[in-house]
Amino acid sequence: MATRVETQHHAAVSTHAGTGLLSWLTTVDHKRIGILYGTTAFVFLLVGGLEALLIRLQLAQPDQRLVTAGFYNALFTMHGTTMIFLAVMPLNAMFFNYMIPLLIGARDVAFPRLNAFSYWVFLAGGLFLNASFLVGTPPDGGWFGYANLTTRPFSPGTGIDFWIFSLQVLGVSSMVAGVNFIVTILNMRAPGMTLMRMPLFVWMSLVVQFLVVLAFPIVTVGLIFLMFDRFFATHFFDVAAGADLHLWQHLFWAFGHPEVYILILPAFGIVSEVIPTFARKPLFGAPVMIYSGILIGFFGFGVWSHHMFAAGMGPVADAAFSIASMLIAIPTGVKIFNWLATMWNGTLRPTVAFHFAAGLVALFTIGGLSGIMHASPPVDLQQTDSYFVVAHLHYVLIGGSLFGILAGASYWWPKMTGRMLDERLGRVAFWIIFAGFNLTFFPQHYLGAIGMPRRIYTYSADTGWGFWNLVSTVGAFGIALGVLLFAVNAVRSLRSGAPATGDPWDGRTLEWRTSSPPPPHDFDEVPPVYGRDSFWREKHGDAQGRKPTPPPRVPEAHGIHLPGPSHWPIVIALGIGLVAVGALTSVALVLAGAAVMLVGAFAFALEHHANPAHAHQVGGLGIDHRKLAMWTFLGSECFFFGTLIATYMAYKGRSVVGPSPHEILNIPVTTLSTFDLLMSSLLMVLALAAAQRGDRRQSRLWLGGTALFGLIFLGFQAYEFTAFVHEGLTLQTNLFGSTFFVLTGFHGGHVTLGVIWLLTLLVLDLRGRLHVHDAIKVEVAGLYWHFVDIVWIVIFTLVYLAP
Amino acid sequence: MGPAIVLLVIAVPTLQVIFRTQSQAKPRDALEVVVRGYQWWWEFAYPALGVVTANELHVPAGRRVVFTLEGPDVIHSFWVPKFGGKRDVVPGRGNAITVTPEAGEFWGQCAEFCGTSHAHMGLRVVVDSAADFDRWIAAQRAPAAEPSGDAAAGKAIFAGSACVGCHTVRGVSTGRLGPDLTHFGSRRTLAGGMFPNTADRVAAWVRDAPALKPGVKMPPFALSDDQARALTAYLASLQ
Repeated sequence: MATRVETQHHAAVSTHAGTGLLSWLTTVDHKRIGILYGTTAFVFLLVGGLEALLIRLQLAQPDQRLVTAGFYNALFTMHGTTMIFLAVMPLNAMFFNYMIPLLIGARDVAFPRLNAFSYWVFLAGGLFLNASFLVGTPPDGGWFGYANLTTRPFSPGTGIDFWIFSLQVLGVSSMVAGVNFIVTILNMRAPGMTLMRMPLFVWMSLVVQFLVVLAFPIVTVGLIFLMFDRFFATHFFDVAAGADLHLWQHLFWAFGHPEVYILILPAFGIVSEVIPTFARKPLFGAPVMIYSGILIGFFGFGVWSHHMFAAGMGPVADAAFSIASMLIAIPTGVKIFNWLATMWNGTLRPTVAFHFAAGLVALFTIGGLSGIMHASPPVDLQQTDSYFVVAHLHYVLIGGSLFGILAGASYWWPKMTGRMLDERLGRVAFWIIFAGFNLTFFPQHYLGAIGMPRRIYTYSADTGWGFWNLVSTVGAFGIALGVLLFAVNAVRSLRSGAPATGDPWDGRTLEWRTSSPPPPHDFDEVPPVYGRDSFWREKHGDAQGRKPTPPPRVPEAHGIHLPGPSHWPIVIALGIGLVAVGALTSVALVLAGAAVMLVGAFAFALEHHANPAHAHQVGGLGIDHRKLAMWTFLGSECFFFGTLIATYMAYKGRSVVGPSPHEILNIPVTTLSTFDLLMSSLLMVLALAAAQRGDRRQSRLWLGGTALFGLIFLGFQAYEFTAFVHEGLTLQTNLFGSTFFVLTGFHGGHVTLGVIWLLTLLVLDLRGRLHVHDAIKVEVAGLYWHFVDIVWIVIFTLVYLAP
Repeated sequence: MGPAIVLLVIAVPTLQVIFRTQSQAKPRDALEVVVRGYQWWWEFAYPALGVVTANELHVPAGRRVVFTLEGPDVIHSFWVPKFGGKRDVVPGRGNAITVTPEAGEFWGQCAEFCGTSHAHMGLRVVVDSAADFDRWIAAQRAPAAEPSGDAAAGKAIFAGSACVGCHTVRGVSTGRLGPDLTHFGSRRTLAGGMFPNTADRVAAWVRDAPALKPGVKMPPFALSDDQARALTAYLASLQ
């Protein structure tokens, strides 16, 4: 593989030469960020594994006294939260970061600095969560944090606060990364890489990013409610005030079930790359594999309530969610059969990666079958919250997600490090993990079936659960040994592994077409795409052995432009971390953190603005990256406000004390403020038109006008809130007060952000720094502004006008 | 196609059972038991029969029993594995589960994580013949036994201490925060099914409950050996 750089370099390429610590702190290279994600997540995997081993030791014998009840509850809470948010998700993010640009023939992600930002925010959230151990109050409410157990009266300590804030911080990281990868995948594919030609891993990653972007806002709102209940004495989960405790469960699982697919679909994608490579056959029924992945993601949003069959939703809801849950087995089954068909009659090369991939197919099938049992409420009512479910979820998440990750790590290791792993040691590690895993979790099916409930820190000897628990504990140490061997193999490879060529597996996809590890700019020339498995076709031709003719080489118009390093991502992440720490300690620290964030955000934006190379970001879809990102973000915002509004509607009329909406809402005044906000949208349209024409006098006028109308709206809202407080309605008065102020308050917060944004553009314009080619920035701000106005119309209609 | 047919075969009986087991109409002859899940013990009330007891559930064999689930604090889940299926005790929602039990003695446990001593929120279930159940009800409706000897001294300690603030012994005290003890001596277990109801265990419990059951709200009491013996004798006399 030629590594000669044929096109002329942009000056920025040289800024990547550094390898010191500082260069890692400021890097925006997707490959380096991928490595940061991978190493950090592996450390957290070991922490979560240590917690698991303590859990297994405590349960190894009846009436064990190794840890206290309280600490055990913290252990399973932290184990679940850590493995999901700090291990499996970021390990998948390692592959998203490192591999997606390579797989689609791109040189980086759409927003490299935001990518770095996602990583640093993830690190801040992970450290913050685990800091709870150091101060002696780890969260102990379960990874699912059921309210009202997690409200202040029943969990008075700071443990739950650590959990709430770290999940919010981690949510920011995931959301930003989700938007980034959606834009990258849709907009940055190499010419010829049509959607249907994209590798399965890219496809599954795309589905996952949509799940992240649409599911996280739901739990974000749930966590906001819980935070307000704990800090500001609202009543979202206060039964005495009329609250319905199903609310938390719906919000949590409406996120929590898509989250299951967020954890598993990347593994499905990896296996769909590994099996064809080592069977030396194309993936059987690739389009069907793509459609089934989309269907799984789609159904994944409609089955959350199967986590709530025991909660008493009534027969109709039970039946509906039962059928939906069974349907999801069909696309999943399709995947299993297609993997088997890909292996069928293939020339199998039993590499370590192939072992883990085949292991996934076997173990996920077992986990899938027990999953179908849970789709049937009469069966689920016996199995739920028993060890049967513990067995099921670990077959899916270890046998599925982790085996997929280990398959991917073994498969792409040579690409990422330029070194080969020891296949023999790798196989030993595989078989120890495989045996240890089954020894740990298969007996738990039986324990659950004979009645052992989940989340108990001990049990008495007369239950008869001792023997199989001991077996399970022995197995857990087997998994630990296997993971350790995997790590030893990795370290040995880094020190003295055989050097890897660019294409050690005779690969099928574009990442194998560049050196191992790839140069900072990934590809010397944008790789040609001849179809699915393009690189394979290039090397071996099609079924008849006919090789494609290379397209004529087109010199790249702008040369290779790589973004320079930036220290602002880590600064903003630091600000977010300070806010989280401050929330538990002092308001002053919150303000200081917010100031750091604000300064960081402005500097981040201006750094972008100052670089003329950023003016053109129109991608493969013919849309500017930033506009596509905004549309994606607004999709997420629909779920955010949708959840807030749905909660307001669900709690309408449930308050046990007054005042009620019709006694207090001032419709004439709010009609005026609504009209004002609508008019601001009109001014926004004029501002954009002026900016596009380059008419700076007009653009200043209308930008300023839009901001002014936004400020007037905020003035109306301040007047309204003050009047309500005088009439005896606050956040704490009743459910109406809690839901009303949180909903309209968050809308007001969005308007405030919009005003700041518009004023920033106005300042740039006044200083003559808003050129015609910057009109896209006004357009993106305008999209946000119009959206916030539309949300207000919905709120005005449903909250004020609807009786 | 194959998987779809298999799923159809599963789906049809699933739907049948959902609608059969969750029909809203309560059969007229059913026995109603109100189950209240507290952190971390169970209260069982028989509204039609005027009986309140704790942690040990008696029901007659072969008769439909509707358990109405009330949650005074957090979410719990009422699970007796031999009854088949569990139902969450969700404060404010009034869930119910209907069972027609077969004779025998079973155990159950809270199945929804509910805080520190979730592991110690067990219950005993005694499914009696109809005649035995009626005898049990009659005994439970009787007023608390009047103690003599050591037990009488124990009653004085009980009545003169903080015990009365949380526990009901009909005719003696009216506390509602802890289990009703009117017929404590008749129960097989102690502390949410944790221990057999023996004098040693009861004495240890009244002296330092938090040492035996993490997070329990009952405080330790500094009792002399004589006082502990007397109080234990009194509790055992509450047959």
